[in-house]
This record gives sequence, C-alpha cells and structure tokens, in this order.
Amino acid sequence: MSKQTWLKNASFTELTPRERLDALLGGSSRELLGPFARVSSPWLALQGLMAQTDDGVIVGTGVFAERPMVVAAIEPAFEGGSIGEVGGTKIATMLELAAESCRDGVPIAALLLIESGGVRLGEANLGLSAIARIQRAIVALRQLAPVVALVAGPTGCFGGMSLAVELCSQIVGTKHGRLGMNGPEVIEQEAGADEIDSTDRRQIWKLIGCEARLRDGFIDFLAEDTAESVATELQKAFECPLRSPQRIADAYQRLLQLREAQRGQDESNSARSYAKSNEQIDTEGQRL
Amino acid sequence: MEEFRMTFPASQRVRRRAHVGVVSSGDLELLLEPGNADEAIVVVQTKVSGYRKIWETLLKRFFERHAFIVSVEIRDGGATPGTVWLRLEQGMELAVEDRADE
Amino acid sequence: MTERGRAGRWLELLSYGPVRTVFHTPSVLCSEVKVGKRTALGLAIVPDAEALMPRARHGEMGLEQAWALSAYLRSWLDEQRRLGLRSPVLAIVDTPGQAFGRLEEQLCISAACASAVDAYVAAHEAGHPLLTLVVGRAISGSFLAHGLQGDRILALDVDDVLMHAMSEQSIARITRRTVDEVREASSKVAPMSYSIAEAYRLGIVHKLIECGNAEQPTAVDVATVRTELDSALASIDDGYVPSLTGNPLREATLTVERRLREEWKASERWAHAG
Repeated sequence: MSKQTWLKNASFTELTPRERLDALLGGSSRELLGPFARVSSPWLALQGLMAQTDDGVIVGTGVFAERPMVVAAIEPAFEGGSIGEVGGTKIATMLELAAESCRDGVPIAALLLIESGGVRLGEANLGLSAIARIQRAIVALRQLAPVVALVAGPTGCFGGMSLAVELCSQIVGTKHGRLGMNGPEVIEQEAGADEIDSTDRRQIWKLIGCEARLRDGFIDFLAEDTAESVATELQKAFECPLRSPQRIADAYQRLLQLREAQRGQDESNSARSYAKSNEQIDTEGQRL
Repeated sequence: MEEFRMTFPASQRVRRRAHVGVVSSGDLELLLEPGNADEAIVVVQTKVSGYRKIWETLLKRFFERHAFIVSVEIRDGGATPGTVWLRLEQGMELAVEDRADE
Repeated sequence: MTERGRAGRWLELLSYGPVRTVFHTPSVLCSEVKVGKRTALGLAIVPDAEALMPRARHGEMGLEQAWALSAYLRSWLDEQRRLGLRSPVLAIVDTPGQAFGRLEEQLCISAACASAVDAYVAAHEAGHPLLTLVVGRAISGSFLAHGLQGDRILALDVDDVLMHAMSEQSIARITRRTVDEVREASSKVAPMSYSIAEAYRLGIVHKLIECGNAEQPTAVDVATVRTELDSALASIDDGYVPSLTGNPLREATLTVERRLREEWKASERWAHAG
C-alpha cells in the first residue's frame, strides 16, 4: 500500500499536524518560518518552560483542490496548542499576506487546522492581543477569499480561538472535535461539578462536540475520521459562495430565541421547584 | 533549566537536515543539521536538571554506533532515555535516507 | 459604586444624551458621546442583578450581552451607512470576563462573542474609528468581544485597572499553584502581568490616562479623559497607525513579521507555478 493510500484511509485524527497538512495538500505544501528558523517564544524560559522552535504553530503555503492558499496548523502537544506571541503573530501575518495578495489581484484562500486551548496563560496578554489580530485578519480576508477552519479533534478548539473559528467562512469538523469557549475543566473549577462533570466524556461531546455543533448550526460540515472524507468536506467548504457566515449573523433573532428559551426554562424550573416543595422527586430533572 | 554542549568524534556524512519530535511531557524536539569537521556536536536544553551524566553516557554510546557528522539541537520536555534514543534514530534516518525526488 | 458599575458610570459621565439600554437589555448600555467634533456611539457592558442568565449578572459578556451588542452595533452601522456617516465607536470596558456555564457552552457563547467581534471589525472595515477606554478590568473573551478591536486602546492609569486572560484565583486553581506563585510568575513575565502599565509597555494599550479616582471620577478626571479621547480620534483621522518598531518587548513579533514577509517574497513564484 502506498503511503498516500494509507494516509487517505487511516485515522486522520491520529496524524500529527504536519502529517495532516501533508495528507491534505500532498507535496504542494511549503512551510514558512519552520523549526530551523528557530523563532520561538521569548517568554517561556523565564518560567522554567521549554520553548519549541516553531512555537507550536506551523504556517506555510500550499495548493488544495487547485486553490492556492495559506495554511496554518496548531500542534496541540505543545502547551495544549495554546496561542502565544510568536504563534499568534505567525497566523495573523499569513492571513494578512493572503489578503494583500488578493487585493493585488492574486486570490489566495486560507485553511486553518485548529487544535487549541486558546490563549497561552504564560503569555496571557500577548496571546489575547495576537488572537484579536487573527480575528481582524480573518474577517478582512474572508471578504476576498474563503477562510476555512478544520476542527478535527481530539483536542478541539477553545477560548479565544473558538471566536476566531466562528468568524471563518466555513467550519469543518469531525465527531472527535469539540468547540467551546471555556473548557469543561475550567467550568467545573469555576462553577462546580454539579454544573459540568469534566470527566464524563460522552456528556462533554454531546454538549460541545462537532456533531452537536453541526446540528445546532454552529459549524457547517462534518467529515468522517479519514483524510479522504476530510478533504471531501473541505472541498465543499471552499466551494461555498463568499459571504458572511450565517452562524453569527441574525444576532437579533438569536437574542429573541434565547429569551424565549430561558423564559420557558424559568417556567418549567419554577414548576419543578413547586413540585419539589410538594415532595415530588423529579428524577428527570437536569440542572442547567 | 539546564543547557550543555558535547562533542563526539564522527566520520560519516549525512545528506540533509532533519527535524523530529515535540516539546511535550515525556518527549523532546530534535533539530539536526549536517556538520563541518569530523565531529558530532550536540546541544541539549532540558527542563529536568541533574541528569547531565546520563545524557553524556547515552549520547556517547549513540555516536559510537552512529558516527555521523552533525550538529544536533535538543529541546527536552522530560523524555526517557528510550525516547531520546528513538528520536535520535528517527532524526538520523531522515537525514541519511535515499529519496527518489532529490 | 452605582448599580451600573464603573463602565456604566463612565458612560453616563461622558455622554451628552440619555444612556439607554440596548434592545431591552439592562446590562448593555449605549449613548452618544462627543469626541472631538464628532458624535461617537458609546457602548458599555454593565452588571445587572436580574439579568436573564444567572451566570452573567456581574458585568460578564454572556450570551444575551454578546447577541444584543452585536445586533445593536449592526443596526447602528446600517443606519450610519444610510446617513453616509462614519461616526466613531467608543467601547467602555470594566468586565470580569466571559460568562462560565453549561448553558453558555451548549448555546455556543463562542458564536455569540464572535458575532460581537464581527460587528466591531465590520465597523472598522467601513471606516468607523474604534476607540476603547478601559476603566476597570479587561479580561479574556469579554475583552476580545468588546474592546480589543479598538484602533486606539486607552486605559486609566490606576492600580485596579487591569488586563488579563484569566483571574489569579482561576489560574491558581487550574494550574494547581498558589495565588502567590501565580503572582510571582506575573511579576517576572511581562505579558502575564495584570498591571495596565505593563500592557502599555507591551504596546497593547496605546495610552495611559492619569486619573485621581476611577470609581468616583472628578470633573478633572472626566475632562482629562475627554482630552485624551479627542487626541486619539485626531490621531486615527490623521491616518497614523501605531507601530511596535523599537519596542524592546516586542522583538519577537517584529521578527516574525519581517522574516515571514521575506520568505513569502522569496517563494512568491509558487502561486503562479501551482
């Protein structure tokens, strides 16, 4: 079996980020500012942490489905795929370069493979600042060329990067992926184990996994866990007409729906407390 | 955090540079480039202090067996000797293998 | 502190018209603020003890706040376009962060906050100058959604005005360290500092404003802030773009930009060859 055949049908989510880029872009990918450039974080050694040569972010160019594009892939094994000054600036600059190229008449799209815990706490404010810059760059490029995010998992996409992903033209996920703002561990720490059990994987994926997100319209496509299927869904994503993502439009409608749903909950919650106070035990009751 | 630099005698050339691994708990990142003189130079940065002797012994044994003229940089996240050896082997293999498209 | 929190208080003090709630959302306030010779839209997220969602009652950016903010800003932008105007927008910030909750995640607070970011970036792209005034805490996803897209970010130079990705207590809990240990790391590593002065040194905040009392501002404090807002707007209108060049704390950013551009140029042929 050739390497290409194996890559097509093997589990996509078991591949490293560079292997994922390879599987999708074939030989066309060229990494920029790679490990040998040794541009790494100036902040980690101060905290007794080891910096990686690429700061956990791989950027470059490549061709996918005959489209030239900039690509970025985050390495979740390094500091949880968190975004620091260097990695964040790499992503933002590539998006900015693509937009400049579009404005100069050479259309270049973007493919972002996001496995990220969000802002790197060890670089806090610079991570936030970089993510804000990435967000601005995504919206700017999105009007000129497709910006497609892939949240394949199993790490998923959290924190400020979940906002960035929701800004993209299209989002492709697999059932191993998840997308949320605060990680389950963080919510459990902040709001207690009654709110969320971060060890209950099935519940977590039911709540914020890509299948749930697709069902509720917060991502756009769902692929099987093979390079072939991921490539198929990515291709559909890149072929969508250029327009602002519907997921984050109609804010007023979302507001009204939220109010209606909450009032409904409040009513059924008061009914439940009334029932409880009458010593009826509601075994179905779930804390929201 | 510790950093140390070691050299070992070497005689075989490699074809190209190579990069393997990840800085994560139990692993390391390794950068390997063709060297110049008849030696292998290894610079290790590690989070885990106090193991210099173990690194020296391991690396000495490795380059006795694979006497490649290389410049190696290791960024260690706390790898076991077994993982270190594996990453070194992976790196050397990538650095010397025959490639049809070159 | 008034019920409307510090951000609400500053919005009131800077406004020349009535402060209104946005789409019947008591935690999202808007008004008109005179900046220079122009009329800016002032926006603030404030506490509301009776807010719809229990986890968004202390000035957090929750689902309701984010959708309401986004919806309002979009409708304002539509109106501005019809009128042929490019009025500035002033985001006033004092927030403990985004709302933490199961329901927030289930209903995708990421999308709600992204919607707010999207509206701010749309405003910027349409030529509206974006100003941000930090009068208290500027934390994490809430600051991303309301404030961090500012073309100029100004902050009161006061001890309890801070910027960060997460509270000290939360970081301590999550990384299993003591608050003292977290504080020690923050003091050694510039981007981990909570101090707004450090954020200024890093080039994230563009201007620090002297202020005697952030909580109960005097007339002098308000006048000083007005002057700085006027300057900031004039600077944007002049086309001046703040640069990190020469900032010793940002060499890594500058190196990435410079070297990526060099490599991009060198490999530019690929786009045509492919």
